[in-house]
Amino acid sequence: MVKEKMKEKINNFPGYLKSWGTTFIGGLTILCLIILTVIPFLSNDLKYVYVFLPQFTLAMIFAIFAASWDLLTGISGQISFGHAIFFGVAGYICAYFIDYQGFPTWVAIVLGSLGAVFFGLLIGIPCLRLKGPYLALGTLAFSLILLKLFLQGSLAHIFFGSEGISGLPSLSDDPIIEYFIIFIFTIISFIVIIQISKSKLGTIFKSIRDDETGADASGINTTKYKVIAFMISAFFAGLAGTFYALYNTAVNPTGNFGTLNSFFAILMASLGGLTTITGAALGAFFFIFLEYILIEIGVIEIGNLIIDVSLWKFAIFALILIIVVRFAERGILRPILEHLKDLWDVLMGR
Amino acid sequence: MEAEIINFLFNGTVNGAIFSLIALGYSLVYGVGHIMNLAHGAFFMLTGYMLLWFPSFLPEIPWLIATIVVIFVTIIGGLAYIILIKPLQDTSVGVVLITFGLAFFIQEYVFVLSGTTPYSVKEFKIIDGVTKIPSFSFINQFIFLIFASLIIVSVFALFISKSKLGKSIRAVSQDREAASLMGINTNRVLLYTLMISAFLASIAAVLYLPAAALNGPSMGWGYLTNSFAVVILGGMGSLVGSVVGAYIVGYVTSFTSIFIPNGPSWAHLVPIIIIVIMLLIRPQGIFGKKELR
Amino acid sequence: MLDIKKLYFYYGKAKALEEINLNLKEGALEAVIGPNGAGKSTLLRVISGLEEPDRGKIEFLGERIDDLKPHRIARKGIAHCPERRRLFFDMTVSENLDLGAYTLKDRSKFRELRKFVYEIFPRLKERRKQRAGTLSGGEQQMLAIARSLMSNPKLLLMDEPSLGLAPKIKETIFEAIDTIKKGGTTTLLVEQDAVLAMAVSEYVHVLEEGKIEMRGTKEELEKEPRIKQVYLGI
Repeated sequence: MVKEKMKEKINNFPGYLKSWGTTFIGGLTILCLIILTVIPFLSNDLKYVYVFLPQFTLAMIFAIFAASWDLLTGISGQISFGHAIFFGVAGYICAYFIDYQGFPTWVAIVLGSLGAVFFGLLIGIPCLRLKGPYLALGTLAFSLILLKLFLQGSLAHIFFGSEGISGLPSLSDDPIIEYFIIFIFTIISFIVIIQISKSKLGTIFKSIRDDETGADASGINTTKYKVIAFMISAFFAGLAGTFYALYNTAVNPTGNFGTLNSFFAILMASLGGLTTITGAALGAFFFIFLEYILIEIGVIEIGNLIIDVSLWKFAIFALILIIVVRFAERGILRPILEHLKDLWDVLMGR
Repeated sequence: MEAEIINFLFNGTVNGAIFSLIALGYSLVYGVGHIMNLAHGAFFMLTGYMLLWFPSFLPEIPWLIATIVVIFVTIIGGLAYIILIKPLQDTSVGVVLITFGLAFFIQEYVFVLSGTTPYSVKEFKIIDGVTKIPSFSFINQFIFLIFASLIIVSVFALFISKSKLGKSIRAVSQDREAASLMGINTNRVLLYTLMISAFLASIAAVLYLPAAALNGPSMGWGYLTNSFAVVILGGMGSLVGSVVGAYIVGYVTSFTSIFIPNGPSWAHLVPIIIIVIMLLIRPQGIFGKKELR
Repeated sequence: MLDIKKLYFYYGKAKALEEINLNLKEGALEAVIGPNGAGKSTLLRVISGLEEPDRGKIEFLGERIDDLKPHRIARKGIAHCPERRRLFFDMTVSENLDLGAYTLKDRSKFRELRKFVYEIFPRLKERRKQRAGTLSGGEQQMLAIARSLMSNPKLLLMDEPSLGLAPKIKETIFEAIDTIKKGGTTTLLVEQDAVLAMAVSEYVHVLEEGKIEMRGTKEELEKEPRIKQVYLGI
């Protein structure tokens, strides 16, 4: 019976894909995927391949990270201000097993992500009693503890001190291959996260977010599902964290555990629009390239005034976050997309 | 040993004096409006840097500059409420996100102007020099700070319990809807509360930082976690609890940094560990009172 | 004095008040009776601005008040003595009275009003230094009424003053309401206890499922068989 259903699904898949491809979102996604596929081959210029292209790789890593935050906070309603915990822990575990135990990179990535899941459990359980702003502060406090432990000079023999671990191998010496490895993992991660948010599990998460008491009353074991949400989210945050470690070929406390990373996840997901998941990807690309552009612009002169734009990048990010939260609670990018969708529908005569 | 004990007691008292000023405002804002203001530490930090920036604009009259800076930061607190917090005050997530954004913005703004190098603003000391006893030297500014803090806290307590505004603040914190039925403009009260809170943080910075140092734009987070530790220890919104909590955190921090090997680097962890323990064991605080008294 | 015209209010999509018309003359004491959940409290909440009406008009002394915030309406002279008292439980009796007089500027008027409420409720004077939370239920209700009188209101809205009280205390409260009426304060009383409500008020509105189903003087309503059966239990 199940087998037949599966067969039917597989047989229908090309048709399903075709009809999905002609919808607005489907078409847009396919367009984005095509663009992302051809981008590595557009130029042989060294700067293009070694500086510009890696920005896309970085953006995709952060897209996974921001999507994992959106799954926990947007979909399940558990506000995390300490997502850097999972990102950092996974990066460190991955680096440790490669550098100190000589494990193959792929095994280290798996171990790193599972380590993050373990931390999801470790932090999810005590945080169960906390709600709203308390949870935000609890997770923030946990991440600050970890940051300070890893920075601690007297514990450097356990946590490697402020220098961290360096000399990790890249995913590949060829930036294009590295790009495609991350690309594939990003696509898989997004499909899985989106499917989870649409599945029965996702519905349960949303019901806990919207009305925890109600969910509890209707027989849902909210405790269990909140921990599950923490663990799934931690897994993807961890996966992104291991990629980030390998991307930099090094880990250090502020770079991997810093509050700034949690801030990034919040920033990217909010800009794209909470609970959309795909918005997280849009936000990630937006911010990574905004940062890149600001650094590229560098110093500008207006009359006598000399401004180093790259110094202003985080101030600008913070300002964008303030504006988005204050004026556009659904994010900026989603409403734009919806307007485009209306236009599309008009053009298609629907 | 004697010197260490005196050092522990003195440092702990100084910590308590400064933490109580900062945490009082933080607690007040949470108690009255359920507003978790993550930019509170940034107000403290900003005051320090404005002391640094202002002398180049004004003739160097320390007390005048300090007064202007405190007024300025108080106004910023008010504007933050009107422009950013008020429209979102019914959603706890929105408030947390927007004050987080504000804190980050202030921090990065300071970073752009002054970088991460430590600075001194010692010309703003009210009393210079040290008082010596055989085994220990007390920094005079800190002695002044201890007494000033006690006086400010007492005046504040009197203000909250006796004045008309103080009574309306307590009324809003106990029952916002009933307060509005009395003809109290609750949003106005919240505005004043935020301004008072920024004012107290700013005063604390003016009293403390001239004898310490400006340790970079991110130092506000440390004071935010401190305030949070204090407030969660004493109970959110309990003013008595905040003052008691401030001195407890002050002495524990001081004890850690003096008597524990490698102490100063562990002392930073004390407030965070207190937060985590309290959140897990007794989120309502030792005094366990939601209401403001 | 108070003029409500075609007032509608929805809780989300559920209709809570439907086409309410109500006119209150100066110096009158009128009551709204009806079963639990009929929308009586909601009506008072809409008048005092705690809820915003969806349609309709509320005029007070010839001025529209339906789009004002609660504190503005309070300052116009409407005092709302809310359901379940809503005292400031951590403050003393006299502090609660101070807050009741928040809008009052005149000190001598303040002393006069305080003397007046202490006369109606001598118990409060005895306990003026006690925290409101430590009072008994009846005393709390007295304080709630006293507090709303302290603003020297032109219109008093009273929500279920007898709720949860022993019969004897109910009587004390209703005697006080009678005194207040004689003092000339216009009052709109919402009450589940129809017998008591009809005993003190001149005119009674019957609110059922958000609609005013019937209204009339005490004598008129007492003749209605349905009122007799449902509300008076005769």
